[in-house]
Amino acid sequence: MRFLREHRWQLAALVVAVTIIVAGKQSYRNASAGELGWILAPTARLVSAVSGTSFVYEAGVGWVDRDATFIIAPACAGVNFAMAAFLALSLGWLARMRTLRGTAARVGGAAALAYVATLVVNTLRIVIAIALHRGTIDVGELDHAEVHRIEGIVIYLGGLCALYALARAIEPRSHHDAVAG
Amino acid sequence: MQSLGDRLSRLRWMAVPIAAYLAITLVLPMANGAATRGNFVHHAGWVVAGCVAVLAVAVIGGLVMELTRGGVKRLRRHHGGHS
Repeated sequence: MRFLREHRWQLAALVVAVTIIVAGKQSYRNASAGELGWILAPTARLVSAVSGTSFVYEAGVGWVDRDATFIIAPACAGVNFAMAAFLALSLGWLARMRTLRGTAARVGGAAALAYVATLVVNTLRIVIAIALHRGTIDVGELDHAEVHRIEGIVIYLGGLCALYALARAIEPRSHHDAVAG
Repeated sequence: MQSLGDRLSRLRWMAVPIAAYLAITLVLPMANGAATRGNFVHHAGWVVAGCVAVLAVAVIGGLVMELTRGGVKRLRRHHGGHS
């Protein structure tokens, strides 16, 4: 009982994080490009700006650049990365979740930071994927689909570790707020 | 020079993002029955290999930074001794 009382906000945060992730994963499975517009649209705009391409929305397909013969489809949304980032940040900040205000601020902050990080990391991943597709980055005889898969894993994992390291670096500055809040 | 064990223990923080990634990309799909799909094992293999690769890069990066720092210190000491 004492453990539950002392760690109630941490347990609540864990329950909220896991619920969001499970619900997010379930809804993402069958989501259309239009339903994922909240993350695909800004990603497509960022990719267009960085790579000099011009992605436009096509209902039922996603964001398409006919010249680059490339589609940013629902599978490219980066929702898995967003959820992994949200989980990692929530777990990383769990020790400081000791009050309702501190817990709400950290869970909300984790969600916001995960969203922004997803836009940045996913844009980088797609820009590299376009370069691979165009042949700007030569992969020789290697299977392009396999290279695309490995690129995704490495960029996402590297991005996740970098995001977590950044979150650890900025967290001590708000330690006082957490204890007082 | 640090041992490999010391190096890995300094990278303990990476367990959280890697575990989060594995939970989302492998554990949740397995809970939803993805393990029965033929290409899941292939995908899982690449995910695990990716984790090992990222850890290896972090260990090697730490080693390079340590060697660079040591080299810079030695150079400074060397120049300081002659000036």
